[in-house]
Amino acid sequence: MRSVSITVCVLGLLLITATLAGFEQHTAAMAGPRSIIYDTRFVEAMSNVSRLLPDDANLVVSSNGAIVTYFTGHIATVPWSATSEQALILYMRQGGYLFLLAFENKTDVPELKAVFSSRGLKALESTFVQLAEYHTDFYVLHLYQLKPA
Amino acid sequence: MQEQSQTEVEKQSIGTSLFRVVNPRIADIAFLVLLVVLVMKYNSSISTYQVPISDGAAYLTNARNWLTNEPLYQIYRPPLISWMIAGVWAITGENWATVKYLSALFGFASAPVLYLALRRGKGAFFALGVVILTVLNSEVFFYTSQLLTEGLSLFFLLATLYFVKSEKPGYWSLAGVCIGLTFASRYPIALQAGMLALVESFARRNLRILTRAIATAVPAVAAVAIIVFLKTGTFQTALPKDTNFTFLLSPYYLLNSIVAWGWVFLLVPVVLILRSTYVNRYNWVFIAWFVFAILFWSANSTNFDLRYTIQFTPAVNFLALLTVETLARNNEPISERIRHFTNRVSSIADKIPDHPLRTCTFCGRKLRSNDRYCDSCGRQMSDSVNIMAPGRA
Repeated sequence: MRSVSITVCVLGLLLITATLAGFEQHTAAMAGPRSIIYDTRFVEAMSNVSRLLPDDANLVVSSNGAIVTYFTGHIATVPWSATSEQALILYMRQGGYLFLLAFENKTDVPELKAVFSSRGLKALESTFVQLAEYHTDFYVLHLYQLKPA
Repeated sequence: MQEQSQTEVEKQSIGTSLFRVVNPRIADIAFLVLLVVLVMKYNSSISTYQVPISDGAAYLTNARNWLTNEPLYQIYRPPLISWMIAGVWAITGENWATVKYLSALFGFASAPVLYLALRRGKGAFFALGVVILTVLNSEVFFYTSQLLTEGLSLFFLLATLYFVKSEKPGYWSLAGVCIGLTFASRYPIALQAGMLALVESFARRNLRILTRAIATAVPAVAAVAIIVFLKTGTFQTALPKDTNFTFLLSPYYLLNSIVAWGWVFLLVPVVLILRSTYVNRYNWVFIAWFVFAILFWSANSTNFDLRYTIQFTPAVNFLALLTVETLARNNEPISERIRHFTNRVSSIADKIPDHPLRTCTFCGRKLRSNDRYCDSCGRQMSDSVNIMAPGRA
């Protein structure tokens, strides 16, 4: 029976070793290599966006609302309740939003995936005027202004 | 007398453990090396961060709002990290790069606090083991390196542990302050901090630990809540969608336990069936900490995230290493312990009566032990009524 205790004890030490051995690999996988936190040109792009916006303007973003809010100094809202292009436009008109910052092919709202795809963004040009386009390390950002109804 | 002999048994059992065989100074030196490695790891990671994580950006915006006296961006965010950022910016000017090491500073400082808290009771080598497993846990390392509340809350929670484990009454008051600061750094973690004070007080049969902690925790918590209320006009601790609790516990944390804590988690169930785990009152706080925290987060019906495990990772690692320590001591074969455990469970099961235990003092009707009211006359029963448990009559 003593051998059972020794076996479990040795097994325990092996489990501890296995846990520590997985540290580097697991930590590296937690934020992928193309995570926004490693984007060296993102802050600069946000500075450029904020220069184009009037002081009191709020904007709608497809993703990363809190990060855009901090770096632009303008409240950026993700349109969680919108499920289509029409719903997005309605959301913006009803909320008094004039500006849309779209991350090409990236949105936090699954239903708007098609709207913010490369093809979907081209279709937005009938309702929006594109003010600027920025390329960061991992994203292409489009700043739009909503045309008057 | 009985208490004294129990303490001697505990000291003896700890004293013979594997982890006490190694010279503590070697463990101390290894711990200092670990700290150096940790500084290098944190620095190499954080220096590559160009943008804060999303929640971190919210704390930065809140900090700016506190500093400029504007309405808070997200009112449900705990304020301490934003206050600290605002404090730094008040001196240096606003720049996110100046504060990106802030959370890591507390994550790093958690290591010596945990080491010192455990070194006294379990020895340097055991403490070193728990600290290594904790600080080199991927969830702990990654999220404490981000500008989030994980590092702060872990630090203040471990400081609470350090103070409640102390013999000095003045430190028990500081434990209360740390509970308040845990609350300010991450609201729900204050429950774990409060649990530490409660269980340690119970385990040491010393109510003064709890009363002193409460005496300082309540004003600290109240002060935080009042300041936030004055700023926002309300006090909200989370988004309403994240506060749905249920008795149907989610298996999320158990299913992802290996991902969260690594393979050492497999040792935790082993230690929980060993009698010696419960005999040593030093361990109670860690058992309660782990059980309470995993039940709390599993009871949330909508909000699951492995980073919520960070604050009780030290408890998991403590229990895992306790398994190794207990088995390495090897003075009671594991089969004996399992037999003892099953005998104990059987003896408890045998004591559960399948017939009425007591009678109503008013009408004489036979009642079961858990009946609060008499079925016949409807009167409420007190605990003092005519208990006739088997073997006691």
